[in-house]
Amino acid sequence: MSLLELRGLSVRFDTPAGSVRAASDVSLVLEEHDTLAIVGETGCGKSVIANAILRLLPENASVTGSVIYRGMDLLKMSEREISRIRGREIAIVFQNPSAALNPVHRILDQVSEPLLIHLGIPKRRAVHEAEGLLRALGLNGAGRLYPFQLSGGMNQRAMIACSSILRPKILMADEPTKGLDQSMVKNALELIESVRSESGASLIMITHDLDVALSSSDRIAVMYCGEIVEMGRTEDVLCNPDHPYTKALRESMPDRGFRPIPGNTPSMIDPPEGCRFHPRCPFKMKICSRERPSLNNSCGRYVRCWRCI
Amino acid sequence: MNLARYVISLFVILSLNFAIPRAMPGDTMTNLLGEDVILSDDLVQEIRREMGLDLPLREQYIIYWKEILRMNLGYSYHFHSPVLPLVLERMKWTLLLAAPPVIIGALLGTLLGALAGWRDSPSTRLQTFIFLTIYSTPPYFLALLSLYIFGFHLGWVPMKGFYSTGSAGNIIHHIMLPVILMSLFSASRNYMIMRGSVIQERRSLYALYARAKGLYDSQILFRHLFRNAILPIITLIALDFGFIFSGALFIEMVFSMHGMGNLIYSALMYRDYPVLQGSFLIITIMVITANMIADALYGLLDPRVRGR
Repeated sequence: MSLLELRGLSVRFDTPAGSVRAASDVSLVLEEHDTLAIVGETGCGKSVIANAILRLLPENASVTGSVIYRGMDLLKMSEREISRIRGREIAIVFQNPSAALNPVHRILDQVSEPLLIHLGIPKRRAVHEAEGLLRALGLNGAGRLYPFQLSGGMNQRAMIACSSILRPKILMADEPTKGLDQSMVKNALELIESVRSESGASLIMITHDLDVALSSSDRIAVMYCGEIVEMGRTEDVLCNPDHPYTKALRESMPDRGFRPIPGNTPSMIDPPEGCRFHPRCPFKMKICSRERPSLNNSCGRYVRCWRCI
Repeated sequence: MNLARYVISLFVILSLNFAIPRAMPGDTMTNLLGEDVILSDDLVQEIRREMGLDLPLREQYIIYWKEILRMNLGYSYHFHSPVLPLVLERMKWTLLLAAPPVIIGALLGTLLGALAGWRDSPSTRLQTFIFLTIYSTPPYFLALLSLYIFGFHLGWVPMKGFYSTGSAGNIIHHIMLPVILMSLFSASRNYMIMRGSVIQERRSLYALYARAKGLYDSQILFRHLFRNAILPIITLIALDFGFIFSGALFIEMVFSMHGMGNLIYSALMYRDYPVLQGSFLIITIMVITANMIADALYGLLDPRVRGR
């Protein structure tokens, strides 16, 4: 049994402008100690997946499919049951740590909170444990301070401490490097990796940065317009992409010619018929605009393209 | 630094307190003596001089400050009593009438408002409707209406104020209806503000993160949102304490109670400067004290305000 398996996960947001299909038919498997990156441009639905797994989406979202964690379907659980999974079994790190931490509580109280909530251990012991973790993460003495007194990087450390203090089985990081400068990106990734390997957790790294994906994951899922278009071993996929979108993404990187992908991201309310990438695809065929390709598996490499069948 | 600000405010307000009654139209002497009393001009001048009203304003102002520092608020010719004991006596009743509603209203309003903002259900919607109706009805109208129903028709409460002052039970019997009414008013306002505040905070990222950490439902509200959402209420409650004395005016009039509101009203009618000034002085001190307490509370609840 896999640790986590998404089967045909689809997310739709009902908005006054129409229904936004943020994720369509996403299926993937995460094994223990696995590191998986989900990449794609802004709005492709990668963060939606992470939030759908923990059922953190707003009320106007309707989620179908299933999210199987150790044989249990998280989507079918009661709110009470899923709240016992959140933070303890599956934890998430958000991209904006300074806004994700409560402005009026001390860092130490926030980091120790999961211990109180999930384990019900005495406050003093929880605080003691949180102090130890903060020290280990290089935040000695910051526990008595409030989020507004710390830098963004320190807040991120605090949030990582907070999300990992219960040694969850799965750690999800939602764009943890967004808005950080290069040296900070390296620090953040090292921190996440050390926390992950120390607790033996699996990692889902959500990022738009291919270099981050390359350095932090064994496997990668490339998303476009709510769909997984290519999935496989990170190095294989990024060094030798099969899907035209992955190729185009690769070529838009500064070290690969900086060539932008022609056209615009399609509307998620009314996505293109057939293959969703076909209006921008340099290799399109007739069938591409008519029929939607499925995600085909060849030797562990999944590609959603008519050319790769 | 803060203290200096309060001292300066006190000084400015007390100076205004001196100026405003003197800027009002109408002659003090005429009011004091009554319209039909005819005195010779000499006698009027004599009295004027005795009371210091012939002095230039600058000197009156200096005397005003001297007397304030001596805790002497003057003598009321209308009530035939020194002002300070008069005001203190009335204040007692107003405090008894108006302080419980501020506290009950704060507790009830913030708690129910927080729950209503947290979850939308038919019962909270009904609650919001009821509080909104109370909030938008003029207090004196609701006071009259309830007096008519509970006092006149049902006879549950007395029609008139504290005249039969006596045992504690008797006093409670008298102030029950006005206290309930004012509590509901204060609660309805706090309810609306708190509800809006919680709705806003509910959408914040830290609330989502609290959920992601595994907090269950109202744990998020009480452990994370409440303290952030209550900040705007603190200012309002501080203002409430300032307005207790003047704000109870309508209620005191309707229920014929002899409190500060009634006192200020009669002082206004008779241009009784000393009583007006004395009352305003008390209100000023109350407002500034309440603000000081609010500032301290803010600092306690919100670390970002602390030490600034």
